[in-house]
Amino acid sequence: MVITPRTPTGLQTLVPQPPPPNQKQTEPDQRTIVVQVMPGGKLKINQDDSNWNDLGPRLFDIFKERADKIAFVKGDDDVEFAQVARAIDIMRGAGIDHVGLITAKIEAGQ
Amino acid sequence: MAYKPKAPPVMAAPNVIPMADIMLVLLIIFMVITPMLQKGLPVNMAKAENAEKMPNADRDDAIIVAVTRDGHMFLGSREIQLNEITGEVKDLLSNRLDKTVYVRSDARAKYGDVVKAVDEVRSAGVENLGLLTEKPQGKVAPPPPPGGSD
Repeated sequence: MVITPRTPTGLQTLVPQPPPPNQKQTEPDQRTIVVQVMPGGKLKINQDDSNWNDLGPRLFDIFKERADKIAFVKGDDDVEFAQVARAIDIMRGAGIDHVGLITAKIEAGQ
Repeated sequence: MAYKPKAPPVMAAPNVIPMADIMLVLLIIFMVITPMLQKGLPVNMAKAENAEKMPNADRDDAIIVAVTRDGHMFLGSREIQLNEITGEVKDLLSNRLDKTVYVRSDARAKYGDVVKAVDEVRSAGVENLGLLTEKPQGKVAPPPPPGGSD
C-alpha cells in the first residue's frame, strides 16, 4: 500500500486565450486581483506590498464578499517555480476557485 | 531389527519461514517495478497543500510537459525544443474533448522557463492547465523564500 503510486495532484490554472481578431478588446476590470511574486520572496497584491504570512488572510478578506472568485498570478522570470506554486496554493486556500496565469504573451495581448 | 519410522515431534507454532520468503520476494518485485510505474520525467515537484486530485494526469494519453531545473523541456519522456511544443501539443489535442495539459515542473526551475512552456502550450489552444505538485508529507511548514522576510 505504501509503495502503490498515488493519484497525481496539482493546481488547476487557466491561461486565457486572446479574443478573436474582430472582437473589441474589453477594458480590464478595475476589481481584478493580480498577485505578483518577485525576486527575494517579495509579494504584491496589485500595487500593494504583501508578504507570505499576510497573503492568505488579505485575499480571503478581498474575496469573501465576491461572487466571482477569480484572480491572476504573475511571477518574475528569475523566481523559482516553487514560489509561484506556493502563491497559487495560498490563493486556492483563500477560496479563489480560478487562478489565471499571466504570461508574457498574455500581457502583450497576443 | 526392522526399521520403524519415527514421527517428528508435533510443532505447536506455525512455520512462518515460507511466508517470510514469499513476502520478501513480493517486496523485491514491488521495489523493482515501482520506479517503472512513474510516468514522464521524474522531477522534484513543488509541494502544495491545497492541490486537487488530477487522476487524468495518470492516464497513458495524458499530455504532460515537463520542465527540468536547468530549463530543458520534455513532452512525456521525450526531450523537445521550445518552438516544437505548440505543434506537437496541437497534434495530440486533435480529436480530444478534454483539452487539459499538465505541466510537471521542477520546484527549482526558473518560472521564466515555465512561462515560456505555458505560452507555447497556450498557443496550441489550451485554456486549462494543471500544474502538477506533491502533497507535503506531514505538517511541515514550507521553506522560507530566499532572502524573503516572512
